[in-house]
Amino acid sequence: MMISALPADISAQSTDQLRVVTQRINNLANNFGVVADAAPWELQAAEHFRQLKANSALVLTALIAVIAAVGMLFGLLKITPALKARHQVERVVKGLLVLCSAVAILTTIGIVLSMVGETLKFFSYVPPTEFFFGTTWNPRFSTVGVGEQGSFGLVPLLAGTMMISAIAMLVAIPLGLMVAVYLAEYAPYRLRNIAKPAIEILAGIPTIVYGFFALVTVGPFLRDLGNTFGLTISATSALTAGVVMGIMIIPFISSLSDDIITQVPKTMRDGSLGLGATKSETIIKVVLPAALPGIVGAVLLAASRAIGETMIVVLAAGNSPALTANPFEAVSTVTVTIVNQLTGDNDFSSPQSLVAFALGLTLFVITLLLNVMALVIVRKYREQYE
Amino acid sequence: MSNLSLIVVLLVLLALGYQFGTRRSRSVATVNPNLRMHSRPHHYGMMVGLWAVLPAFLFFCYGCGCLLL
Repeated sequence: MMISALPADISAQSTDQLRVVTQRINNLANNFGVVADAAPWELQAAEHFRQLKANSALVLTALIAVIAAVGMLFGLLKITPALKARHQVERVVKGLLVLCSAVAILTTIGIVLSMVGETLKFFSYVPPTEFFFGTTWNPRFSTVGVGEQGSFGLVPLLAGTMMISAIAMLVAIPLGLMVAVYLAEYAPYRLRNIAKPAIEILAGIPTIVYGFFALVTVGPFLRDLGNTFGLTISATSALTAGVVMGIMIIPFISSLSDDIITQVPKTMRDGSLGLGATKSETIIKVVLPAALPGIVGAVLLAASRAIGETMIVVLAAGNSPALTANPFEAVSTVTVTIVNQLTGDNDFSSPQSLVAFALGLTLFVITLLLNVMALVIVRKYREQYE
Repeated sequence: MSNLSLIVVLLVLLALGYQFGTRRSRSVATVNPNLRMHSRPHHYGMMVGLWAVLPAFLFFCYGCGCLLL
């Protein structure tokens, strides 16, 4: 409708040029800026476009008013003793509930689909074998030279992720389990009521604060500690990030395990104590095995959380994507690399940016598998003692 | 009229429809004292409000989609 009102010499152009012209006119009509001065015919067209838009909005409003009035009258006239109004209302509410739950699921599907699309585009630049099995990570930025492709090897990043997560779990599992056992079995009721929320505060601290803490406090402390033992530990290393991340995920393990340990039936404890076992024997031989599936589930959930953690690693792991087995050196992880690839002036269709989607999808698959595994384990063994 | 004020008007209409529906269901009930109403008054009110607003809202979504394209 708008194009037909344009001057003849302009509407005769090709579709591509027409699209540029329409975009300019659209911007003018919405009071956005345009490049260069607007020609008089463009201003005219923009004014015309605005008129059309206002008219159609007016028509829309009128139509909506009519529909609403008719709807209300219809509803009022329908009211009779036999009308099942409650059923109608309940059907609408049920539809609303279905819609709400669909939003959550559809978002997940949308995220996965968009990542799959971009990942396939990335694999048209770099073959998958090179991506999954390459051992060097050196994505040259596209400004350095066209045709000069960097090497996109996933292995050093994945190794860094696994190392940091492993260190984090080494810190978090013993501490978290001890905390859970103490809180569930030994702590007096009042202390437990205070200590449990206090530990859960740890989970509420923003991760950037943890990262800052790691960078400023823990990193230098570990470096000095290493110096006294004659070890060279760089201030930003896998160890720093791992330790702080381990502290971060303690509440995940302790809180979940604590719930599970308290759920172990009292009869089992009484039976063990009645047979003459001491309290610690009861905990080690009876309570913990009974709670094991739940504890494994908690640990796996914490692990998937550790693998996806970004901010601590950005600040404290040093960001050097080299393949190393030494936890005292700087490493880089998948999440950090995604941050690095997507921040900064980068062409979004270059492999340098697209690789972020491939990395994200890999990470998503890993954490998804861990979560599914945790859910299956928890569900399979949960009712065993009930 | 801007979209936001349209939505506000629709919400007001929902409340109005609720009021009218509740009142009308009561009067219908007093006119036919020997018949039992199937639902409570607020169900009738909600139904009238939804009948007024839902079709209009769906059309509004459709119209906005058309205007954007």
